[in-house]
Amino acid sequence: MRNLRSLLWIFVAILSWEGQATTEVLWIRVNVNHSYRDLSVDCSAIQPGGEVFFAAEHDSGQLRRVVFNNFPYTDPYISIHKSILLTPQEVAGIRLHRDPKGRLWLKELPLTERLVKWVLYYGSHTYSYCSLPQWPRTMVPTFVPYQFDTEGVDAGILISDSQKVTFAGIRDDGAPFQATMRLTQRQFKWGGEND
Amino acid sequence: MTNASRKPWKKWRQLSAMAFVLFTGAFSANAAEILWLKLTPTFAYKDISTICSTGLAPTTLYFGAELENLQVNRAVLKDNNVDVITDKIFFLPEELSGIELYRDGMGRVWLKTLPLTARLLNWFLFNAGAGIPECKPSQPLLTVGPIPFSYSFAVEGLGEGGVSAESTFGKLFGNRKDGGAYQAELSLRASQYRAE
Repeated sequence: MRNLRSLLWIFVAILSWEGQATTEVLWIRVNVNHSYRDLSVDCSAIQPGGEVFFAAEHDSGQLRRVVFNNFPYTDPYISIHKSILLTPQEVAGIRLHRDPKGRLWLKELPLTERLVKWVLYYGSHTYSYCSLPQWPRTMVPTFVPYQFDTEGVDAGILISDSQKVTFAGIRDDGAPFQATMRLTQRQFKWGGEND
Repeated sequence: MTNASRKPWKKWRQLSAMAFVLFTGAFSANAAEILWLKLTPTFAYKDISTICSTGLAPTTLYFGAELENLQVNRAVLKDNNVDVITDKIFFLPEELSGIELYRDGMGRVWLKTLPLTARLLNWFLFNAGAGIPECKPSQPLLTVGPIPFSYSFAVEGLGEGGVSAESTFGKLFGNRKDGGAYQAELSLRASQYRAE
């Protein structure tokens, strides 16, 4: 009888804990430091680069849904707001890092071909002087496991860089292009959050 | 006309005057007082499609109430226009019971405690970011929490000429209608409002 009562208490405790668990929303600014060239343009946007936004729902760092946005809000006056929802397979490869202050950062961000195209195309369009003139029809490599250096953020540095990756591809009209892309992440300050 | 014939009329006038004084006195003691407070929210909202805060462009909302002896008979929240018919929400009778008011040394009435039900919190979440057109939930909200939720205002010291009272800081969360998660932060600064 006593064992049964203990089991019941454990069950109730689990249920109440589940009820208190809150899904949180995480936003990270991702600078897109890129260069691009084809026969019509040769440019680089390394400083300061374009920008996309990594947004996620998570339970204590366990990712549920992830989206990339090209703007941080859906302003009715901005008609070019774009977002792409990651598939569960794409979400599964993402690893987060929690710094000593409890903030979450990207540690590993594997990008499939469609995500590489999206991040490079929309990230480049934040700054018109180095925008991709056309949508990339193909790009190689088709899968890029971006990894971020998070040692610095543990020491208080406010940005974290990935490696630089070089791409080659074909534009939508069939013309070839070359590009490079390195990602730099920063925390998105919001509400009462501090550094 | 003799004095005797004038007396009843005189008495009637005296009685009428006394009755008038008593009546108006009693009426003024029970007269409903109208209170309008400006509520300036500090608001931030985020889900996976929108992240925004009103730090740079505060909105002004209004709390209006009919009072008797610091008891609220009716109350309403209005958006950024008091003098025209705009978006407003009346408190239900059961939503009035927890409201506490405070009269300062200068006779001004302030909110001391403002308990908010889910539907009133929902109203705040959709109107607190009106100063920035895009700073509001991207979809209708299915849940708003934590419930019960109550704002307390720092009204101590207002008798010494204070012009505003800050509320506690509310961290809110829940799910949008599509099931997606959201988080919001809302605090309120109350100040006296009187139409010019």
